[in-house]
Amino acid sequence: MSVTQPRRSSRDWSRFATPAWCYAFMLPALVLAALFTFYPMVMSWVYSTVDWNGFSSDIEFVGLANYRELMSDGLFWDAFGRSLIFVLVGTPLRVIGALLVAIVLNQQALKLSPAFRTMFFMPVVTTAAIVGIVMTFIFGPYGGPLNEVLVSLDVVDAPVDFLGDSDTAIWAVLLTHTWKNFGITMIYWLAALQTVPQSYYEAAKVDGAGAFALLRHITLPVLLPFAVVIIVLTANENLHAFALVQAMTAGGPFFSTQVIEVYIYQTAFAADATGGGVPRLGYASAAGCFFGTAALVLALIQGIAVRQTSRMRKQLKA
Amino acid sequence: MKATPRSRGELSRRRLLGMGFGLAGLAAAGCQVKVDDDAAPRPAATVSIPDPQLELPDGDLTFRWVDSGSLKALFNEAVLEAYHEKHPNVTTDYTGQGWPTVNDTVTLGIRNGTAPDIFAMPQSVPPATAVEEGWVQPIDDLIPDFDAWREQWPADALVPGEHIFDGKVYTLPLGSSLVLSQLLIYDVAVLESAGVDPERDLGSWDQMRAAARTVTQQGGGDVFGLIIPGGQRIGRIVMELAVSAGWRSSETIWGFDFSTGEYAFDAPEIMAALEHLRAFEADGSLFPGSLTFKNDDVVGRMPNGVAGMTFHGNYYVAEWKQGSPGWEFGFAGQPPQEEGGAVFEPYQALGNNNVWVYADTPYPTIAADLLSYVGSVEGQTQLVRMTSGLLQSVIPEANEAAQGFDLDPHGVKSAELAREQMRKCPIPSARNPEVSAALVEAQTIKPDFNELVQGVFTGDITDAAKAFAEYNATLNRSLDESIAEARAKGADISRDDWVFTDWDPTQDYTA
Repeated sequence: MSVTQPRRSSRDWSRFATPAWCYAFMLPALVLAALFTFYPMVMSWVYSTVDWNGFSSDIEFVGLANYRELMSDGLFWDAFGRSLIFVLVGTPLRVIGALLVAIVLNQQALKLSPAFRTMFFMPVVTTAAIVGIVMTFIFGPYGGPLNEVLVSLDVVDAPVDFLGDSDTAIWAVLLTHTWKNFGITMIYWLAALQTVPQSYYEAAKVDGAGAFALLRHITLPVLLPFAVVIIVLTANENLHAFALVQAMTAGGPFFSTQVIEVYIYQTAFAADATGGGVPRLGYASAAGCFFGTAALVLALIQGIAVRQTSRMRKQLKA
Repeated sequence: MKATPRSRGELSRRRLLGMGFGLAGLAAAGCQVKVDDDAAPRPAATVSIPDPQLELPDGDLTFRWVDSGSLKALFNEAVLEAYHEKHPNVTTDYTGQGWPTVNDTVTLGIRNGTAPDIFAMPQSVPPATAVEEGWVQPIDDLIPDFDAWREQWPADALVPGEHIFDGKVYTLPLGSSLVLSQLLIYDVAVLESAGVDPERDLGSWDQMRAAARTVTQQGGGDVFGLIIPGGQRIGRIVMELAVSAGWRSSETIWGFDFSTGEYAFDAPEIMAALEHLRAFEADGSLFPGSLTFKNDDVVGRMPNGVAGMTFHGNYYVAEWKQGSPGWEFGFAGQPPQEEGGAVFEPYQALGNNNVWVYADTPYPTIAADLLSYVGSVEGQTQLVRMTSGLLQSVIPEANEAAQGFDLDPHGVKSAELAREQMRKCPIPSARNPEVSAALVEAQTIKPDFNELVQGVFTGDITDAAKAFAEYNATLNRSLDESIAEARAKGADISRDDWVFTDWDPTQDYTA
């Protein structure tokens, strides 16, 4: 009597092998993410509980003392406030401006549309440091083109030192940041605009709808679900202005442009040239973790927004 | 600094240069001075590396040296090139691109075990920490016939707690600290066209202010009396001005009065210096944008004839001579507050540009061979010659040997001014080497003095005297805390170690 073992069919094998291959392909990304994302994140939280200058072996565990100190650190809260200004002012400025530009550039009749799109997108791919340094000359009070225009138009009597005045510096930097990243938000809107079916417009035109009616009753309702995502993405992006600020003002004058990232950098790495002293990596990590948590909250809002978006789209289709 | 008065009109060529050269300066930012530039006055000095007294590795290798560059790059590059010629298997890699590069690359290199073989200590790392952590190694075990080599140096050149730790020599200064870090640098043509004679009209604060006003008035909105790198150095400029008014402070421990052992940022000289600088702004003599300028912004603009004067050290002379060979500029010491007064600038004779040997360098014998040369009388003589006298050596024989060669008049002048105005001040670590333990514990204080002065100029700080007094109190408290922490860890130090009641800033301190 011969006993035959049931032979594993190729279908069974593939059921086993497919997930294995999936994991195998995911492994490199997982390793990289673990090394360069998760490990630094975890270590930031660890460092935030120690008093450490970042280079010596003299590390003292201080628990939540860094966080407690942070709560009463005026410079930290000022920097945090400036980052919020970037979000609360920069986001609507960019989102609304980019929407208007995108609507114009989405017109089929506009032959030069691709050229304009490229023009708006160019600053996005230009290095932030270069943009920052060039803009210091644009805003400069001595021969700076902006001042030349303002003076020649009698808007101001004398050139204004935009970056040297703590009242104007943050707005100059914010404006530059908005201009530099304007193109990316415009691209988001253009992609969203592609989803508006042309047939809607044609049908509305047959019914006698004008340009404003098309915008109000077709374009904006269709774009609304996308708007939430674009706002969240832009807000998150506005929290990250380190390179530009560092290049334009390094957080000055007198901290007036010191956003939270610059604060963290200067606390973690820069010593005081006058009074001596060593950097405070542990304390800076606590500030970073606090800031990271704020960014995480934004990301959570993004998640909720995406869920709401898909719900709204389903309702729209129904 | 809200708005800057200027006449309206077309964009003049000078204005364009003043604006645009900043862009050129941008490219030059952080760049090192090259000795092979045809436009540069080629130094006649040559480096001749002696035969090694040690057995050197014979395989192909790369030896790395990282420091902040500037003037010493003229010498260091030449030495490393000559070393490669002498030992073709040794490729030398010199990086002298400013302190930010040193601060980043060396610190990371030490953490990763890939630090340069010879390096300048990052600004944020107290040397005592580097020694304690074992990042650097003593050179007296490396340099052949060390005692004979060291005899070339003055007996007091290497100081415990600064160069010597636990009886071992860890570092040597590549240059003397007898260098004024703030000179009055002026554009000869600009002052001449305004009718200002630098010898006659810059003899006091008031005279200098008047000169700046004259230059500005005659400049018609295109030329200004004074330009400063305010974004980077405005606090330093105020402190240096205060020293010219008699403020008791050395640049090694800014604001510290050794006669009392207390910080003195609340001294009247500081307020006087601040008001003096603000007077230039009030007069409209301060170049627009000065509050946020970095060093390179000023270095780039000065040769374009857009400003009459600036305050800075002699660090950029070689760069100006290479980049703007036709530009004529002059040096003067800082004017005293009152005409006829004398300026005495206290300094700690610790030397400058200390170099350290990485503890884990695979090529300690090459490091020893190189340092043996650069620390010799011959090597130091070439340092002075190659920097045209702008850098001086700690070894007096080297400075003397360099005289009579092709020294630059600016170098000779700055050395003369330094000898005339600078006086040695006390060095606490020379009396008690353990005081360096307190530096390890020092906390960074924010806002620092530079930021405070900026705040006064922007109008964010309305009561400067109060802000400076608070800053001063914080510094004093911080020093006490650092001492207490160091004592708790076993250091035998007290505040008295910083007190030298017999210190007279007008005389070299010799005790």
